[in-house]
Amino acid sequence: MNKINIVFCFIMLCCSAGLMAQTRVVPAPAQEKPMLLRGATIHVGNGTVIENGVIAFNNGKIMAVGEDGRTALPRMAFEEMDVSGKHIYPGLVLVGSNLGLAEVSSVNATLDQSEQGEFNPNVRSIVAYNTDSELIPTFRYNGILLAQSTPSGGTISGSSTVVQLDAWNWEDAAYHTDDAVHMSWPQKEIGARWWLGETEGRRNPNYDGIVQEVDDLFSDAKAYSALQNKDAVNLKLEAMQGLFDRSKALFIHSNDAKSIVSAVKMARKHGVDRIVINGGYEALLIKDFIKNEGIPVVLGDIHGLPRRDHEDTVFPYKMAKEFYDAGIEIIISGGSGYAARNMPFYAGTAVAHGLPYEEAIKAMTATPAKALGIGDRAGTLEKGKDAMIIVVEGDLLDMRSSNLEHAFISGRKIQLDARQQWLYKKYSEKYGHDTNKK
Amino acid sequence: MKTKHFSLYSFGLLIAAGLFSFLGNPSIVQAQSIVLTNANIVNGVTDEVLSNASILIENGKIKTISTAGIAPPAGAQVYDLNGKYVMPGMIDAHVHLGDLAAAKRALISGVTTVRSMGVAHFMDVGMRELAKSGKLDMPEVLAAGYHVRLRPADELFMDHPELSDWIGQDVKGEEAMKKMADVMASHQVDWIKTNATARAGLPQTDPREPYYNTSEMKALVDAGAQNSIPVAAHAHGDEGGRAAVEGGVRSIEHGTYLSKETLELMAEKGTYLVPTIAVVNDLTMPGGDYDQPLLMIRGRHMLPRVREMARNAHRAGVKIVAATDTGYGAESTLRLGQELEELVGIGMSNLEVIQAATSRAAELLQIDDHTGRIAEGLDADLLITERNPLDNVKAVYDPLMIINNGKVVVNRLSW
Repeated sequence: MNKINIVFCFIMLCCSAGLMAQTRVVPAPAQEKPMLLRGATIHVGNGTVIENGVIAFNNGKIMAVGEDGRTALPRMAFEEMDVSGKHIYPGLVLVGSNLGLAEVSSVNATLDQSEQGEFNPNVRSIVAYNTDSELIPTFRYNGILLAQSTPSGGTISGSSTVVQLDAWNWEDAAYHTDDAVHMSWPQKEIGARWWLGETEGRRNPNYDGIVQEVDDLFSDAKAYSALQNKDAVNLKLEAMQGLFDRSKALFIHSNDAKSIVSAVKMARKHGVDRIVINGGYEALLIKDFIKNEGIPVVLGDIHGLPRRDHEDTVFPYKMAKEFYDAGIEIIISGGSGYAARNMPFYAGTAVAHGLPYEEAIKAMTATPAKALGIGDRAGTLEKGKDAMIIVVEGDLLDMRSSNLEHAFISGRKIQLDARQQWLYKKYSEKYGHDTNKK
Repeated sequence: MKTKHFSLYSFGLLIAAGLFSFLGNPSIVQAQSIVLTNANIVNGVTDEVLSNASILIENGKIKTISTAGIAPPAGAQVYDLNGKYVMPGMIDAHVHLGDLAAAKRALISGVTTVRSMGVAHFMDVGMRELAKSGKLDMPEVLAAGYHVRLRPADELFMDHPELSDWIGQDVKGEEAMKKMADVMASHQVDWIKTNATARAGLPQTDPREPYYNTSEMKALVDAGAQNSIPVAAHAHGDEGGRAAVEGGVRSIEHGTYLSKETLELMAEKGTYLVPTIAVVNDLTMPGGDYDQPLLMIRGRHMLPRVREMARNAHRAGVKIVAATDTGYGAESTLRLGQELEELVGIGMSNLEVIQAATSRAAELLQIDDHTGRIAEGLDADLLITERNPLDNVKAVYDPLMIINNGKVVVNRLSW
């Protein structure tokens, strides 16, 4: 009886493992052989394009990039891949995502992106990052290989970490730990409370208080850094230190022009050098200020509707071009949530509304990499950088033709087949509409 | 030798001719012709929208307006507006532009004419000339030089050290007013700006405090009139404001605490009101042009008053003109659209509000002979919007195209 039970259990286990294997993504092992991709159009990420390019990488690092026939390649037994007619881009970098922290927004038990309390610089998103998130493969399938896993909630939400999207556990996933502190500046004006019959907005009565508290936190952190012998470690203040020595960036989450000016001035007063604006819907009003401060702006809602009724329906589509024309660095993001996988298509819309193509690529590769402090390792396809590479048939930014064929994270060829592809195949069989796509 | 001499001579002649033509024709206008087709024209004067219209722009002017179509001349650039709305470029009747970047910022927000109401070093006079040169993208500027007030800006004494007797003294009395008017006129200003009351934008002043009496105001107005220069008076309090109106100023700026009696007098005398309500709103909010705790408190009691006063003024039949009172600085979030919304809020019709930023403003500024309306022969200063500004004035917030003296300075039509 016992024996039968054990055998039964074993069979069941095997069956379920077999079923799971179809949907589970197994992280790829380290790069074993040197690889050579030949014949593609290479979009370097910094604005340059190499036709008929060649790219070689070994031990996870890029060894050579250039035009085929004119680029010196190391003498090695490369595993060569003919990718002519295709496009190679750097792995895309997603900024301001809650990937790995939130699975299904309507299911509370799957959400781990915010902490109690208002001031939590010491809260680290990386320890909550779930490498088994079903969303990760869907992001990778559209070319996103690095993501900033970002906490939210409160005024100082916590510290984010940049993760690479092919890992067994959070320790392996961490690509740049604690890259930035995230701050949501309070709104100066609150909208009308229609349920009370109000027709006009009003000043936020708590604004001054919250601003004072933030200011105090920065002052305390600055004073803490000057302490020689710390009797006790203060985790909150410790977590702020990176802002003053440039090892961390300050992400200001705000859409309101006046709030942005106030937040930036406050941060500058305390000597914060690396600042990024996330949101910045009204930032076009103060583009000269932002340009002078040298601050990049993250556009996370390009496919959103305009926020004001006087704006043109396509206004959010045009914003990227407006910032670009003003000489402001832009980062195109898919925003928070599962739909961030559509990031390259958002960029495509910006291109259709005037943003130069390579600038759109840059806004998802080199510029975010620089803003996240990983510009020396990722973001462009240059010799010595980590081999974060995607190979695409068609146009990455066009949802009609984009077809990601291969992706490499630090030279590791990652598995692209996952649950969505499996479901696609399943229902293709039922309805017979398979278009030979993966 | 002879040929060289000749060539030098002819070269000199060429330069002279070039210089002469430059001086003789101060506004260098766009040579290229432009044709706008499928336009809905809001002319800035009437309530009617001229549909399916075409506009031919030549030499910076509106040459032809037609609903029968216009055959584009050779080399003309044609823009199909596809039913978008064309209104006159807006006039901001009260600004303090401090540099050329600010002037550009004003222009790309849809403002093609500004009246400068007080800056240092007669910068606005220089800006006016630069704008006329046509070499920079900036609005047409009407200059006023310095504020004529009890304590003029320090910079005035740097420009005019001979006035040093006034340093530390109140500039008061009819003689002083005449002298100030002459100083301003010597710099060829278009307007004289005076402060009939104290400022609101400084925490230590009370905006209700009167500075000048009727006879002083009259002296200033008369001295200005000698050179055909009108006077605009900053006034918050009623006493100072009334003195300015009685003295014969052409416009009252702000007017926060003006009584109904003073407003009725303004209606009777035809004095214009430039209420600048939106900037008072900016006072109440953190950030923006004014960010000072005491001014926020002051703004909170001024805002309902200035709205009430403007409402009374409109009812009394005072001619109201739109303006921002901003410097269009890098951190400024104030734009003329906010003032237009405020003017709708005090009960003006959409047409009256659009007029306040176009034809009515041009009338105040005495430039209605060449701008402020859409009509044949006038400057091609145009603002193209997605929706009809007569349906909702907020349309002006989103300029799809801006044409300044016949030159396209913003073009987002193709997106």
